Amino acid sequence: MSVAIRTRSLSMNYRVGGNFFRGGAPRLVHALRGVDLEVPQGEIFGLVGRNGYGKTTLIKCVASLLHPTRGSVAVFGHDTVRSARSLRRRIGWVGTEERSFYYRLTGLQNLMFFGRLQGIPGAETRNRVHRLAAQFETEALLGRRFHEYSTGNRQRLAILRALLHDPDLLILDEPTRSLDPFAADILRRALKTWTCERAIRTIVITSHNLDEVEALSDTVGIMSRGALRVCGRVEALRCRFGSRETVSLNLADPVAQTLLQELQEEVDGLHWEPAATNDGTAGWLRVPQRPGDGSLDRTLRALLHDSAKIVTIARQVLTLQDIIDRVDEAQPTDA
Amino acid sequence: MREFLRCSWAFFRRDAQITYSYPLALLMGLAGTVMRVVVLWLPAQLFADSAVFARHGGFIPFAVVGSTIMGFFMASYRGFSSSVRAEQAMGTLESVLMTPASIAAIVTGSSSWTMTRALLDAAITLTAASLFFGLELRGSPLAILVLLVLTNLTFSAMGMFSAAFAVVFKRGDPFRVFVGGASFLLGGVLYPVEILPSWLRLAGEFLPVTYGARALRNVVLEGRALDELLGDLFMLGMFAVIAVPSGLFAFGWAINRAKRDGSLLHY
Repeated sequence: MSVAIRTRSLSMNYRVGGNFFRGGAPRLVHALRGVDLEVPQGEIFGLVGRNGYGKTTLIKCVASLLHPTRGSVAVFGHDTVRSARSLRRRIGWVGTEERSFYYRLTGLQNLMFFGRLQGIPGAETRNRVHRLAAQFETEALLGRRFHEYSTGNRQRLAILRALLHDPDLLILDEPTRSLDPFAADILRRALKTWTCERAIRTIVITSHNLDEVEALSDTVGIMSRGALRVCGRVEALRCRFGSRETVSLNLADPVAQTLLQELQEEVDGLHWEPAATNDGTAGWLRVPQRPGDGSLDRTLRALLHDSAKIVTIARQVLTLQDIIDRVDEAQPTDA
Repeated sequence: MREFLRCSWAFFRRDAQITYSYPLALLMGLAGTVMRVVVLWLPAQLFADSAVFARHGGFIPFAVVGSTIMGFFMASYRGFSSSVRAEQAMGTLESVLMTPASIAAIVTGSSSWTMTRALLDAAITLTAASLFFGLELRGSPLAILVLLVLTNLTFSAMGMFSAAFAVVFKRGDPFRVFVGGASFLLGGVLYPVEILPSWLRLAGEFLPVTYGARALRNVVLEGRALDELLGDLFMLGMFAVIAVPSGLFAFGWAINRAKRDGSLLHY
């Protein structure tokens, strides 16, 4: 397995506050604390965590926009500090900075400028811009000045720029943040297709849209207070952090007390919750289960035997947000 | 080299396109250059009998060449630092630094349009002075160009230090205050250095603008050839040889420092 990104004991400290004229000592902020990460080539890696927990700092170190205080980052085997220039040809970057274009220039002029800086000849840049614009349905925007763009369209232009030089690694910091659902869907599909086109193509994505991260990513990393606490496939994380998934049965009438006791003896954790709202049902019977353990089958048979009326059935799995919560809860609070 | 030229051309085109997007400002800028020459008429009346200026062919020729070199100094000096500052404020610096463009290409490219404008302004200034005040231009355009390019190199290097300062400290550029101020006062730009006390004249010898202004006057007003100005050209060359690599190093160091402390986009 070839590795696209490898970080070793990556730490990043910032000094904040403190002023020569007004006095006061600067405070040291540990944005990253010894992050060890490996992202294989060809993967979509999702990085999640609460605000200020180091996601953007980590991806900026990978993109060579920040130099780590300690530790190292290698992209395709090259150190991002020593080989920054050559690596930038292989990295496409979409940051959260909305003002990353020249306001008086049109979308096309902006992309032509960045294309030239990437070393792509003018005619070739123009061809690529039009091809990408067609893919992302942004042709109509190219002739308009950047200051006329909506926030979402600015984001789309940033994605076009990131893909312009045909990078091997695409780093996306909240890429669908300002996109409408249709544009976001186009982007998600394009990213999936993009990685499949060449085996080396790798994507790192940070997002607070956890459904999106789950749908897109092969592997997910959870950052908490500057450290990468957990890394793995979402299903594996569910098994690790979730006890059992729960199937909830919404019943029209309360379960008979004797039946409930019998079920609770057979199924560990089964419990009854009376309806919180007056929706015409009596409440929910929560049935924890692991696939194949037969607890749901036994419960359903017992309920049907007792002529219980089931209104709806809902399956509840541990969400990525639940996993993040548990990861955060497990960590000691520190500065 | 090809890549360097491509990057420089990209910056030049970008700045030309941005300038062209403000057509009125472009026209007013050109009109302002002509006006700066025309307004010299009033002080020329005041200094008409001045023996100090008489030794340099009168106030108008002295002031025209002085304002040309000062305009060039400001453009060279500010061209890059202003561009870096603007990139910081606009938020585009990070995007530019995400490309494989070298620091040298970014520095050269970012100031290429400003320098072209400064050359145009210099040509307009000298032409306007010739038209309105009958200033006789004796030097060859090639000699003037060579001199301006060499002068630009040394001035630009100071601009790189200024840009490095902007990247690290954001505002409060001491180079502008001290080097810029000293150049105005001691460089023989606004008045002949003969009126200064000898110790201040000596201080002026450490400023490249002194050599640039003197050499340009000798070429433009007295029609001297470059081989007659080897002393001034040597000094300008020495400034360039020392200041340009140091300026590039300082700017590269500043960028790396900003990457270490995460302040690249602060402004």
